[in-house]
Amino acid sequence: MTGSTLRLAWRNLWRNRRRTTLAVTAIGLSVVLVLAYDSVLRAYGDWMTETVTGPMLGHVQVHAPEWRKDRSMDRTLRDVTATLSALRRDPEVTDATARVYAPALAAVGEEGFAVVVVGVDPAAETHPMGLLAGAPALPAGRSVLVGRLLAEQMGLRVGDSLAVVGQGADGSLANDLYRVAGLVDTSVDFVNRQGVLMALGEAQTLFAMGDEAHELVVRGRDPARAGELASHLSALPALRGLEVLDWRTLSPEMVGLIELVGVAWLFVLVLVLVAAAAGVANTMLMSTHERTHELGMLLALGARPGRIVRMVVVEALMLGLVGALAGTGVGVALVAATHRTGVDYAALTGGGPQELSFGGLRWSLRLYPTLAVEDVLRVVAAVGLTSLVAAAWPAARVARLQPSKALRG
Amino acid sequence: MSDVILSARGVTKIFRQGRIEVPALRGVDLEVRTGEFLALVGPSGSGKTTFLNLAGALDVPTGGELLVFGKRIADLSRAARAELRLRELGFVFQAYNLVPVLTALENVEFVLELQGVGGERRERARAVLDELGLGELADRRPAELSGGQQQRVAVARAVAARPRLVLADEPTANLDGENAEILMHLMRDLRDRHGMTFVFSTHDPRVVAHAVRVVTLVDGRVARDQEKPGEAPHEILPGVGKAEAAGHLGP
Ligand SMILES: Nc1ncnc2c1ncn2[C@@H]1O[C@H](COP(=O)(O)OP(=O)(O)OP(=O)(O)O)[C@@H](O)[C@H]1O
Ligand SMILES: [Mg+2]
Repeated sequence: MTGSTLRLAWRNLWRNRRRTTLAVTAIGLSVVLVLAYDSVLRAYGDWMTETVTGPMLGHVQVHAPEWRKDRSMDRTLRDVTATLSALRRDPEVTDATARVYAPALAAVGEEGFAVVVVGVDPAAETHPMGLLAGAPALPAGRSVLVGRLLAEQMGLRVGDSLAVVGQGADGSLANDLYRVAGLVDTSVDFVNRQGVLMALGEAQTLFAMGDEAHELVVRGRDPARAGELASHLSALPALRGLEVLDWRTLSPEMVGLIELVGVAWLFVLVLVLVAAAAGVANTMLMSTHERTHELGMLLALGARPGRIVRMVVVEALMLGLVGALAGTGVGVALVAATHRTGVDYAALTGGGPQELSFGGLRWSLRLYPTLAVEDVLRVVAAVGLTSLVAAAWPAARVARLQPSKALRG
Repeated sequence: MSDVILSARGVTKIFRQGRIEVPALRGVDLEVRTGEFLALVGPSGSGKTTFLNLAGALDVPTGGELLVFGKRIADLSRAARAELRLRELGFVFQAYNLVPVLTALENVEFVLELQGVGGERRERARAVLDELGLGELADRRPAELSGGQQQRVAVARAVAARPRLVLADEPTANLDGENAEILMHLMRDLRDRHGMTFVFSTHDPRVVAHAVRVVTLVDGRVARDQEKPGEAPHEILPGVGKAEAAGHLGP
């Protein structure tokens, strides 16, 4: 393609400024919408992956066989301290911690509530990907953190005493009094609704467990390679006979959701396709119709129909791409402006539900829109391709022009 | 040497509009030789435009035999006719000859580009404009040119690719007397110096006065064919053909 073809197409494009501006605006707006939508989807997808592979599941979990089926108190992992240090020594492991899960009853006054006591290692869970990320400190001794929704339900306040009653791993009665040191608000739904969190050692003591736990949470460098990490770990002598699973296997429904979010852009892309097709086809049909005489003259001069068709196609492509670039500029600026502070969707939707939980996650209503290069490329490519397709109609008309007739009209 | 570049024998053209047949040409006999300066006149609807379109390979005759540079127009494919127009023919129309978004220079360059002229395109286009005294207008767009200037640029474009035959359909129709004169001088000068052949249609008696030969069409037939004595092409340009033509427009 020569420079003169591009120059001619560019100038022809702006012969009717108003019409071209209108088409560019329509295409641009659709691109802005698609990018805004993409950026929110991507924010959701990233946030879900981070939450699932962070506080919720980690990359790989280790359990006693069958524990996941009935969560029975006595299906414990033994020699937890030794196993953890073996895991932490492994070069593929960036971090490993143990958790205890125990169903129990909790009460402030008369009324008892079904809760889950979660024994955690505060030192290993306060990093940004831990279950205690952003939670108040959990002091040593008989202190607990309580899920915010549970606390609301029970009418609990910080400083209150909480009685916890359950069954120990050996079948004995477990009960004690704890001070509520703070409330936790995490993206893991069940912790907010049912969680009573205490230090691992406290939980082991309460439930007569010794050096035992129900779950090991292991993290490697890359959540995408959790499967490899799981098979690598299951070969370790310390984990022999245990169930070692990566997060994808542990939570197929979350994986499905993440994948769905990953392809949801397809649906909204239709918007941009329609806008580009309509804008380009309409503009090019009108502009080639107006130029019938001129095109006939070019044919008379000896221009081959292919040359004229190419001119129209280049013009259509240019129109689409100008719209796409304008939209990309605005869209990227919009995303950049909201990326840091985030967008509060609860406020945007006029105070809809404050809490939204699904798939074990409490869905964030404040999102931090973000875009990847591929999102932009995809939209621009979609507009480009659609413009080419939309150019087919006017181009076919032009290709059939009879020079003598065109010159009369 | 007879040097016939266009030969029409019993050429007819019938347009169909639904069921109605409109006979635009009813049997035209005409021969045009190199170096002619021929005016096609006749009442409105007599078939001047139709004939020029056939001669220019923009359309094909319904009947008869039309040869342009020895080629039967009726036998040529669409592409072959485009090629013939590109290589051998130049066109000037009544108005809106130029691409409005291109400058005068770029308009001339455009045909050279279509011809496949490479690097020296711009220089050649400029040389043609300069030769026709249009150098000053090179960078103006058609909207910034008067009607007369536009037509002169159109002539420059028509001859830039060194066609052997230039067809002009009422090139002066939108011009005042003075500009029509200038345009005719320009065309006549090109013919005198380069041996280019011009066939143009007109209604204007002052334009006809410049012609060397005047062919009158009436109802799709040649009604009269007059040659001004002493101005026959072979007498004005003895032995001058395209090969000997000098100047920028020469090979
Ligand atoms: N494409 C067409 N379809 C139908 N009829 C046509 C077509 N082109 C020309 N005609 C008819 O053919 C006849 C000759 O038309 P043409 O344009 O050749 O005349 P002309 O001599 O150029 O006239 P003018 O001096 O008005 O330009 C007219 O009756 C015209 O209506
Ligand atoms: Mg006419």
